Amino acid sequence: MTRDLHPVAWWGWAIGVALAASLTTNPLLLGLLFCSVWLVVANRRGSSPWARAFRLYVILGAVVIVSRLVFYVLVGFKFGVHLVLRLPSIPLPDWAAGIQLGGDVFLEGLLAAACLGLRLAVLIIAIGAANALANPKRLLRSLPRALHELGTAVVVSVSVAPQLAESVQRVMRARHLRGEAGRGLRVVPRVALPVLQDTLDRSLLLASAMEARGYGSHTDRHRAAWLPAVTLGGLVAVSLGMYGVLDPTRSPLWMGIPVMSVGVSMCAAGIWLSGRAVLVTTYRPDPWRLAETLTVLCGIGCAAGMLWARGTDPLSMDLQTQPLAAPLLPVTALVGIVLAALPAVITPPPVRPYRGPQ
Amino acid sequence: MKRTLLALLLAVPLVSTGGTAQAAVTCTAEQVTVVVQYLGGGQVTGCGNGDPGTGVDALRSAGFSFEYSPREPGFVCTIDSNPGDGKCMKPKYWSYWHASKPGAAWTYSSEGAGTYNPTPGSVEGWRFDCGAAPGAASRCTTSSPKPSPKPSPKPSPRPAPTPSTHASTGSGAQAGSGASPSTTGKAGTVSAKAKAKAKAPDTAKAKATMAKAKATKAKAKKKPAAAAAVVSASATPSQDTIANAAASQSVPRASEPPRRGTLPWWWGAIALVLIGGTAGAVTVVRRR
Repeated sequence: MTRDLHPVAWWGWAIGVALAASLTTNPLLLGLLFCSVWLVVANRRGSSPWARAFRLYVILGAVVIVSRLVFYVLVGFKFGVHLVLRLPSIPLPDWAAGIQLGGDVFLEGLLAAACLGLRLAVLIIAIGAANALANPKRLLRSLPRALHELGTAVVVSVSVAPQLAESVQRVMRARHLRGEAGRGLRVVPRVALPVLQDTLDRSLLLASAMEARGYGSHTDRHRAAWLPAVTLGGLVAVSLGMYGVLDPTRSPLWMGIPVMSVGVSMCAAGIWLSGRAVLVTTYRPDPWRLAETLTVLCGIGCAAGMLWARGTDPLSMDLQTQPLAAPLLPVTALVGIVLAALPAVITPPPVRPYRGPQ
Repeated sequence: MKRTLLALLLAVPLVSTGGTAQAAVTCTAEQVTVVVQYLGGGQVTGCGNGDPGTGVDALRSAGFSFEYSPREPGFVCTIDSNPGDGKCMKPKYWSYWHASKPGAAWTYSSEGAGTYNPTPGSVEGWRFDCGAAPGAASRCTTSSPKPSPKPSPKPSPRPAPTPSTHASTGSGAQAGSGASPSTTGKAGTVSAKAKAKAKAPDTAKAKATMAKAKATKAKAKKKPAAAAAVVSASATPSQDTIANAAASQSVPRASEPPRRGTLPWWWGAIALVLIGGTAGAVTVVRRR
């Protein structure tokens, strides 16, 4: 049976994988994590425009690694014993002490910088996988009801860019059918007006369609004026509590967990109370079934495997550069990576567009 | 290095509130005195030979081994495999200090040891604490969660204060006695050591990593120094001392054969080819 997995499940899985990636600089583990993510995306992505964005995230990851290396050679701290590149070092004045401009590049430092870049790249790619696998519109539907209007606005703005691109394609196709030649910048003035008109027409059409379905209508129940104050106060308390939790040495004891929990409960209460005033239909609900739970558990298991390996044998989780040694493969981390790849087979395949009789 | 900057931003007093650069060994004016204080108060002094180009060169030249943090290269994580558990960032870390001459007040370094160039005759200080200067009272507060008071086997790892290695301690510091010798007002073991020039090639041979040391260092080693007599009066950590120090810490090293719970790297390579190959095949099949 084909169906789209709940978007929150994909995001839970991706956050687990990203957490696992952030725990290691071992290039073997990072490479395996990337391959697992790639396998899942290749096997389970749909045919939507955002599903094709995964390649862009991979390119972004490669750019991150390359720029990390370039900046390492330019201003990084060089250390190691295996000389790779002999570069002159430019002396800097005293106020810039600690920054090394140029200087001989050693293999150890270069590899360490590459692994740090790889870690960030895998993190970005994991989030990109969630973007490619989960439908952003359906994810916004899972927002709390209090944020419903905000979600509607975000959905409309998110779909502007694809709609604009589609309009451009339609207008260009129409021009070609009419036999009008011309490409490049000279065409822009002639295409711009029809595109704007087309987008406006479609927006008005969408607006009237949404109005007909009850969007933007106000309910008779009026909201209490003190509700925003509760949410705002909760947010302030959360900020204060966060400060207390992060720096327990310089702030009083009550500022940590107690203020934080009060703030969280105030926020939750505010969102729940203001959500009661909003009525939404549940047309086409996203079901949460066994596959969703298993997918999230795979993400948690991946992070847990890495955490376990880090706790028992922290040296195997980092590339050892002093002295340089081949990376090891902790078994628990490998189990976590296999778990991360499992959603490629345990989830239902996505709905594919009908392409006519085979 | 990052931590150094951070500590500066947090307005740690630049001049330490307590403790001055008291060295248990007298180094010559051409040398850089390096004072290292481990967790638990054990303070060791060494003399960096020649004119070390950087703070870490001085540290190495004075007979200490060190490692950068694998996750933050450039941040000195361990000195002589201390701390043994690899927790070297929070709350305790190796703080780096300078003093213009023995007896002067400590100044918190505004620069990383990898780039700072110590002047001969000055004192370099290393202290594993929450930012306290060598010889000063600990800055670690009790409210912060820290594992410090727990380790019952004294974590001062250096087996240096054994009579065998420091039999000829010139400074009169009674190694391992626990009594504070004259100068440092700090309870704990104070041992003196310095590296004699003659021993330097041995040490370099003992460590594969040091074999290809920088040209400047090699030059410093080859050059017979006038101060050799003074230095040899104090104890010299021979290479087996360093080996003992490493072994007694039982720090697992990456160069050792794989330990329990880990597989060699080629298992990872096979897994990489398997998963990556499947993903590539799926991508190609789906595209058609």
